[in-house]
Amino acid sequence: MSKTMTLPKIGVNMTEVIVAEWFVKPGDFVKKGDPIFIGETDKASQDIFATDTGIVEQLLVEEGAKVQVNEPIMLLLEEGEIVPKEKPKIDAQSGQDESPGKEDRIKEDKTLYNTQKIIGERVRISPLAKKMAEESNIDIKELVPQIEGKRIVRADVLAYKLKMKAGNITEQINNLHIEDEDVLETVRMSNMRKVIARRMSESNLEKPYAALTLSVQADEIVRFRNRYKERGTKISYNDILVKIVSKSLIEHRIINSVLDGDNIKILRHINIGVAIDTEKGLMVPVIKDADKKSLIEISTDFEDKANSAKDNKINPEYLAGGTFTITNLGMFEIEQFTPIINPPECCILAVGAMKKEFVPDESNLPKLVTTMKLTLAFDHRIVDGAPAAKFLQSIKHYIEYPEMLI
Amino acid sequence: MLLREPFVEITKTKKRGNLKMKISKETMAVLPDLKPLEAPKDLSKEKIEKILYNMCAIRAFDSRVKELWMANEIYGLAHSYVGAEAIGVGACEALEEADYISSTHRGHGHTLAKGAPIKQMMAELFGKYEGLNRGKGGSMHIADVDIGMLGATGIVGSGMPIALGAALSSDVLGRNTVSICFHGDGGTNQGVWHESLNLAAVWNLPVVFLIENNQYAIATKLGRVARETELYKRAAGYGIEGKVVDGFNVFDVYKTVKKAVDKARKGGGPTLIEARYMRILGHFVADDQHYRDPKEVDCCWEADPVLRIKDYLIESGIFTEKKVEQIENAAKQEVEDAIEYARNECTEPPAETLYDDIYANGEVIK
Amino acid sequence: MSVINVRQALNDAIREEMEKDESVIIMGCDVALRGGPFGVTLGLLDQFGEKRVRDTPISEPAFTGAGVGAAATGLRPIVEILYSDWLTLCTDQLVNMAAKMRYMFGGKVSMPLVVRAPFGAGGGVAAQHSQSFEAWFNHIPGLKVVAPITPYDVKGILKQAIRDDNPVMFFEHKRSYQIKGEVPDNEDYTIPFGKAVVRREGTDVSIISYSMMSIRAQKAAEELAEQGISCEVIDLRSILPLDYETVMSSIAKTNRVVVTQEANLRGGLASDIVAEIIDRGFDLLDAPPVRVGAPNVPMPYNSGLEKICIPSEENIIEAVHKVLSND
Repeated sequence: MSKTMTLPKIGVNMTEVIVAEWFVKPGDFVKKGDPIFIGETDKASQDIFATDTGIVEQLLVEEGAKVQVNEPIMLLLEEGEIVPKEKPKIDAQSGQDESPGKEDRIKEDKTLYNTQKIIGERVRISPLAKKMAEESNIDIKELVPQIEGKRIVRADVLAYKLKMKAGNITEQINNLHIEDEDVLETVRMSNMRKVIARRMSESNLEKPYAALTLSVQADEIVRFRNRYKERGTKISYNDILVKIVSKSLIEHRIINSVLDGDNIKILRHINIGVAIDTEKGLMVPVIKDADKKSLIEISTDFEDKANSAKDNKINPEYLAGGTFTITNLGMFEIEQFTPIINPPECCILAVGAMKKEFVPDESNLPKLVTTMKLTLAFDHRIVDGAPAAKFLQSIKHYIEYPEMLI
Repeated sequence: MLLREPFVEITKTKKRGNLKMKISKETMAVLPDLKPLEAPKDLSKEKIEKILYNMCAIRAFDSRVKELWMANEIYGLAHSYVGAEAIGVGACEALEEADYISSTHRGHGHTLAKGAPIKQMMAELFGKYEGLNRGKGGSMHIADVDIGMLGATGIVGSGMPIALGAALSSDVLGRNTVSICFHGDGGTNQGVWHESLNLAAVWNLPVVFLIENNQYAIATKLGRVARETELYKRAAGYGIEGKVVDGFNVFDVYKTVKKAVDKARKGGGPTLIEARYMRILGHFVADDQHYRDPKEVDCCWEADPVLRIKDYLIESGIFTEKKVEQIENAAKQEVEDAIEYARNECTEPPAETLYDDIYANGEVIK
Repeated sequence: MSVINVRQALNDAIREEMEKDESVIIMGCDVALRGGPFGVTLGLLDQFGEKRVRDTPISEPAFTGAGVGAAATGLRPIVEILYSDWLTLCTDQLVNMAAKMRYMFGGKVSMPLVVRAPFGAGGGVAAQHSQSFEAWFNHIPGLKVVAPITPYDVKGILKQAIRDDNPVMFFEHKRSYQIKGEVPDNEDYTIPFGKAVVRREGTDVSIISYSMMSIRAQKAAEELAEQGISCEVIDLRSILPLDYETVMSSIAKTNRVVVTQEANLRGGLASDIVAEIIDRGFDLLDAPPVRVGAPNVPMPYNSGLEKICIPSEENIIEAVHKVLSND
């Protein structure tokens, strides 16, 4: 005759435990006081002890299941009684490997046709996800469910799209809805254009972008340039800025760096690119080791490269390897603008047009000066606002006191 | 498909029956309830003319329907009222216009007798949009609800509670109308028949249950499915009066039904009337009655109610032979005109009308 | 506003309509003298008299059919079939006459009939007193089928049913009479058919329900909320016509749906609803719809077994997990 053993209350506040691991199995002899399983509460694990003696007939709680105090945990037989043979485990086709208990017998047993084995080559994907994939021209075979073996759902398509967006922007163009009759002319993107587009998008997508602007009084460098001009040497403001920036970079080396994973790599060479507008589009010829070149050397170098670029004859090597970029739209009367950092660089300097303004002097009387706005865009992952600001200030310093360059 | 009965010409006649009944011995044996015709005193000549007209019209209607069915101009199911004209016409004549009748599958006679326009009836059988039921009912569901004919129905017994309901309305709303529930001997074995009689009796509703006992439920003779074949006697079980009448005798039907209707109208409650006749033609238009004794069928022709009333009216001098012929021809002509109308002047219901009239006020739930 | 229970709401609705319209009558077993075994028709006999409040013999075909005939000839009858299980007895009158007379007879018949038939399971009343046949009547063109549960809905929908010129199967839940709810005082309001109500808004899954299951669904949704799952619970109220607009708008938001019924699963209303959802919005679905219903067994007497046979909050929670599992 089986008797039922229930879960004893061991602690004052104990109401239930989880059976972490059984120590006994059907057929074992158990004496009152023997440990029979490890019970877990949310505070601790402890051994649970038998409250009766006998031979284990059946364990009523599965490992991992919760049981309440006073609920039955096992059936015991008297010594000498025969333990019924353990029910054979039935290995069913869809993965059930336990003998069906009462609960399972009343559950529906339908044959499911959803397993990958049965659907073979077909992709397991929900109708919504399939439609989304079709609309975005994604091959459903490329999609991966977040948990293996599950159906591909909307969330998976969105995850894929996010990944794609970072990698390849052109996909998105397919989703525009413009009628043919509204299009005046279609200009195919040149390869260069595509690259620019990709790099600009990547830049904006990846970098936490921040920008600082300040006004400088440009009278000194105007004078500076005029003096060269009087001597028959033509230098441009860009040349002067390259020299100034390269000097500032020596003093603020952190700006001359790239982000590689978790490492900020401060670069040895100071290669400054200057953005120019060509027929083909934006190009950035790089002046290598600008800090080691004199102003005249920079000027000559830049002039050569710019001309070759405009004639579309520039050596691609000269467009690569920059560590900082200057972009100047002053010639288009642009006073101020927010430039996009040229990846993988840390910063970019935007230079605006010079204009005459009245500003208060030491006695607060109006003084006519030439001002110019500089905007420094920086990658906030590498530098914070204050160091970037200091860098910008040093540029201002050199612009307003160019004699300090020597 | 073997069709034994020929198309019956109404005027084909060997003079039978006179003021006293001259019915052959064999026929009397088969139809012992036949009684001599006698026009009641309270019936005016106009009414008698109407009775004759309606009986001839029903005869012409259902005879022609059978032909049309065989030519597939009418299709589906059609159940002929030929032979039962006396009952339908006699009973409906006892009613006022506002009164109600419920019917069975054999509904043409009831509908016509209650006063429905023959043209629209025929159009309905042809399935036309101009028909009484907009082509949605056909023969099986012929109805003219506006004049109190609450529809033919194919479920045996389903008309009984409907008549009951009409009587219930009358009772609650104080309308003073009476309902007649036409049903067959087959229907008296439905549970709902017993329930309806009981309910009508206990609530004292103004309804007359009129059994058109043609002795056959399709192919099953009454005696094989009921021990008590005197069906009117069942009334005793419900505490109401039961009467039996000669179903081939329009005046006998009229007299008894009128009494019952008047009683009900005065608040006397329901009556059970058994109109005993015998089915002459098959159960429906394609039934060849191979299960019946042909001699029996011949006897029925002898008792043909239309023939009997024509003969009676002529012999009793109520109408001249010429007048009778004239009335008969007029009825036949109206049926022919109706066929013309249905064939040539009516239209097929458009497909858009499929969802009409399922719900009230034009609501459509697809 | 007052708080009343479903039983009172039914009583009020019937009384108010009978006061308004003399052609409204009510009949059924024990409705008059006893006031109905569930107390729904208490007081009506005294107020309206024998002609309009009628006790019937146990003759469902006859008195239901009488209701049909009376509806066709000027009355607005309410027929009470005490347990919806006994609708089997009078189905012929409802299916072959009430639903079809207007159509068969050229649109000339009005059929303002209401059949009240308490349905639903529980209480150990066993196999012949626990069934739900709304799926059968949903199948019959010409009928309308409703199953409200809150007192507000019950009152408004019963009044609408009485005023509707079509035959309406009104399924009140036999275990709902004590459910309380707010009902406006002195307001003659009706609720149109074919309008579902969103009982709870959510974003992860839509649970479509009606009658007692809508109450269980709301409870389940509360528990699921603690697990971080946001459920939108819809109470259909009206089964034929069914408000697919609300259903589909909800699914457009959540992309996953669980449809519940108290009846046993096979051939039930949930299957029809799921098929319609797939028909109307296959591409909205991020997972196959899951139905909740009872096992396909006649209701057993034993209370433990009966509990398994009545879909519970746990069953609904299980179904929601299933629809979210992407298995």
